[in-house]
Amino acid sequence: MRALLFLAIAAAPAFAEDDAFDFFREEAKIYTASRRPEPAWRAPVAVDIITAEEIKAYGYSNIADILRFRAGMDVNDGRSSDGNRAVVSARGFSRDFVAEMQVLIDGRSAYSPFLGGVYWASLPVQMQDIERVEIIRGPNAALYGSNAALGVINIITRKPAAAPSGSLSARGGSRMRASAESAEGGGRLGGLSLSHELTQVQGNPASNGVGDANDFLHSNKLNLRGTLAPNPETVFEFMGGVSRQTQGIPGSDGGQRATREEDFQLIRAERKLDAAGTVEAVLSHSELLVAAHPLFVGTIRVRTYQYDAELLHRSDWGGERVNSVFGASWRLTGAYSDQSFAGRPAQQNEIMRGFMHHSAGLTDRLTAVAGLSLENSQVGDLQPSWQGAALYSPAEDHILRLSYSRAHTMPPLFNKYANYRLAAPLHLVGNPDLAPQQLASWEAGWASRALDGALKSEVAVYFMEIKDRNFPFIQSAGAPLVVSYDNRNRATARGVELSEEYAFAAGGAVFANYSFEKIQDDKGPTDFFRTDLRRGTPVHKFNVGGRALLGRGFGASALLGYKDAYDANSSTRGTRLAVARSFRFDARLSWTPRPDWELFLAGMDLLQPYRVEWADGTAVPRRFEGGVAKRFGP
Amino acid sequence: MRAVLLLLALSFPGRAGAAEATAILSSDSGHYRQALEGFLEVWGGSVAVVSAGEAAPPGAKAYVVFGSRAAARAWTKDAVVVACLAPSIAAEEGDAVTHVSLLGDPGVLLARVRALIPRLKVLRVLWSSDSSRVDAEALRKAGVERGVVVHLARVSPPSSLPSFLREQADDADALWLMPDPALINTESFSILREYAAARKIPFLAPTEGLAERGAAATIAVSFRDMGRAAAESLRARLDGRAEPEFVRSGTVRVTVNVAAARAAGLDSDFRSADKVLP
Repeated sequence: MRALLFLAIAAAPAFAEDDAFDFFREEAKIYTASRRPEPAWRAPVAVDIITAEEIKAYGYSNIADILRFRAGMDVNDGRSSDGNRAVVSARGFSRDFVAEMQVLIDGRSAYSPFLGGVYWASLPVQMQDIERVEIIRGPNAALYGSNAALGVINIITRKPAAAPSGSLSARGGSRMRASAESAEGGGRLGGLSLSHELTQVQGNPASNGVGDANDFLHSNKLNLRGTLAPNPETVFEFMGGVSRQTQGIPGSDGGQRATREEDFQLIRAERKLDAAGTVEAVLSHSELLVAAHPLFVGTIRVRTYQYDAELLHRSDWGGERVNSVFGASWRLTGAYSDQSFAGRPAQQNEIMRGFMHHSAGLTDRLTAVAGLSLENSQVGDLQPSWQGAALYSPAEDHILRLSYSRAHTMPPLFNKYANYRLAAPLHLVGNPDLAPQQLASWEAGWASRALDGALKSEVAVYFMEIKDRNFPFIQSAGAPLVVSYDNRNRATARGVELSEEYAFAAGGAVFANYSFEKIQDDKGPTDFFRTDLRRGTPVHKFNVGGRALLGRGFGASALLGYKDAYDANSSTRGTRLAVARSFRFDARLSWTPRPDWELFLAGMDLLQPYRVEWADGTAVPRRFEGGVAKRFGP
Repeated sequence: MRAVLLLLALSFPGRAGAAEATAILSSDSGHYRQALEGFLEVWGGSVAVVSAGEAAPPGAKAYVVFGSRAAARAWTKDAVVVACLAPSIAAEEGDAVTHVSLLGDPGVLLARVRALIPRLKVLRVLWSSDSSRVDAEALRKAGVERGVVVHLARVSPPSSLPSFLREQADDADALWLMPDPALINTESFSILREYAAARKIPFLAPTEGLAERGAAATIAVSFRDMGRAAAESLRARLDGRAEPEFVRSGTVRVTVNVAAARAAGLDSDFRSADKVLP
């Protein structure tokens, strides 16, 4: 070998001038600063990141659409109640309230403790503020606590710009119109930004494609964000927001509506301790008032609130081979409703949690990951969650991972404490003995990078088992009919996810992904809502997409998604629908005549006049939009 | 000259165990070979050359390693090691490795930047990896001595560069990109070039070829000079002389891209530059 090396050296006619980046490219892909392979894509779980550049290029107009075309995600549009407008889950188990998926906005949980799940259209975050969205598929309760069993969606907003700047944008089309404004500025010590978004989404047509199902949504959001860095080691952040939504009540005569008012505040302090790592403290509060429930006759009022305090310590040690996170958190969450909790209207849950997570480079090729979370709460008692993973790099730019995780899902307050008499002869009664669901997951994955990172490939194979699954059952068949919840069911899911992404030029990329999932459960469609878990998730899904800069300031993008047939079950409406397999095709053309201006035209669901994706009696129509955006400042 | 040196090196492989020093190359890439050539020019003794995947010759104690892959070995306590062109390897307390800095002498570097930009008061230095921390701090200290505010701006993770730049105050007279592999790639370079152009401030880069790619100027130690510095350091250590943990070459070359420099508001005649690109 040595002789060959010398021959190679001697044979070189001269040291040709290398590409200026060659040296750094070679050094970057060999080792990281920690002397072990740990680029972002070498995580112990399946992670997908959507950047602001992609969000802009593909023209996504809401958060559900950002998630729709990604591997392993199930997004069903046309969910019409409670401020959702879409049902979103990772790795299946779609239903009105997906209690097993945690959603964080800048680290603050946006999960609703009242019914479980997330009100996607009402999230107090604006599209113009999103810097990136991280999708973590599979359980991650060891880091994020309860309700992170199927996955975690982390929405990260951008920090204020230091230079005075601002933006104005307006968009409108066949089904919606929206405007957004922002202003920001600052200096070396920090910055401040203020953003506002007004959205008016027209009601979808009824499921036969005609008329108006009265599920309109008018939304008004105001967000403030500030940063202060008195020295390079310390950063303080403040975030706050208020929002108000008015939404139509589908199936009503068009005059009924519900209002939702929400506010939140968050303070974060981060201090770098040099060799000792970083300490982070977060305090937050949020409150939501729903002034009417959209489904039932009569007014229902629900107030939910959440207080959070968290302390984190991150450090590298052992010659930077070990990365550790230690944390402790306290959460008080509650709901007040005279109607839902008749007789005992105030229900709350106090959660204390301690957790640690370690990643250790055992050798240059092998990394071990372990995490443990211990959570004690009024609703769930003491619940351990943990994760163990091994990452092995058989060659540069390739990583294999094996992981086993256990995660629990806290039952929503409604399922635990409800005492809700509907106008119809139906009485929903919570079960105080309802236990958390327990999920175990085995997963193997492979990820690779080629062509200097331009080509990314990932494969994940998993098996999940959910024990003590919440199961709504008829407690008493008399009049009224009494329905309650227990832990009688057990479900399993096995799946495969493949994804490829190729960045062929600056601003140009194509991607493709395929997901397979098969779900089984012990009970079948025997619950009160006759939910068939086995058919509730499309078995096959694939998505392809691409974006490119065409020259002269023009840019174009296109997305195509396919979903197999599945059964949609709306528990709030008690309806069930066999949804046919379908394609969705979106396209967008933009023109940037100057760096500070953009005009665009976009079409969504272009292949058919309308599609039905959920069982709420509404359809998702073909839509067209156009818009203009102007940026001020650098 | 190169051919002669390589022929001299070729005469030793059969007696690798008896060589005075062992050179380990991360790969056969041109940058490591240039540094090896510089090393051989100064070294004067016998050298066994092996690749990173090979075992070192038995009995070898003195090593010069080129590249992070070659440097990331578990060295024995009695090994004398000089690491060159290994920016991804962080220095560890008590380790046997002397690091040849890619940055060069920060005092010389700042003097040359100032000759290029006489109005320089605030220099924003972008870095990311832990392994760049020592060089970044050295630059800051040199700035204090010379009346230049060196603002160390750590981009972590490197992918956050666009948003990170948005948050930076417009108070810098120039932008300096550290020789940090986590941060130097075509994408980040393009972002930084556009950022500097929009603010009409010079964008300074740490390796000569980047001037041709649009940096206003590069202030760099050549790979060959780093090899020379490695040879001097290894010789000093074998002779029992005290050597600093970080060796910094004072031979810093300045290359100016006149078009980019003029666009950034530099109106000097660039006489201080070693090379001028039109």
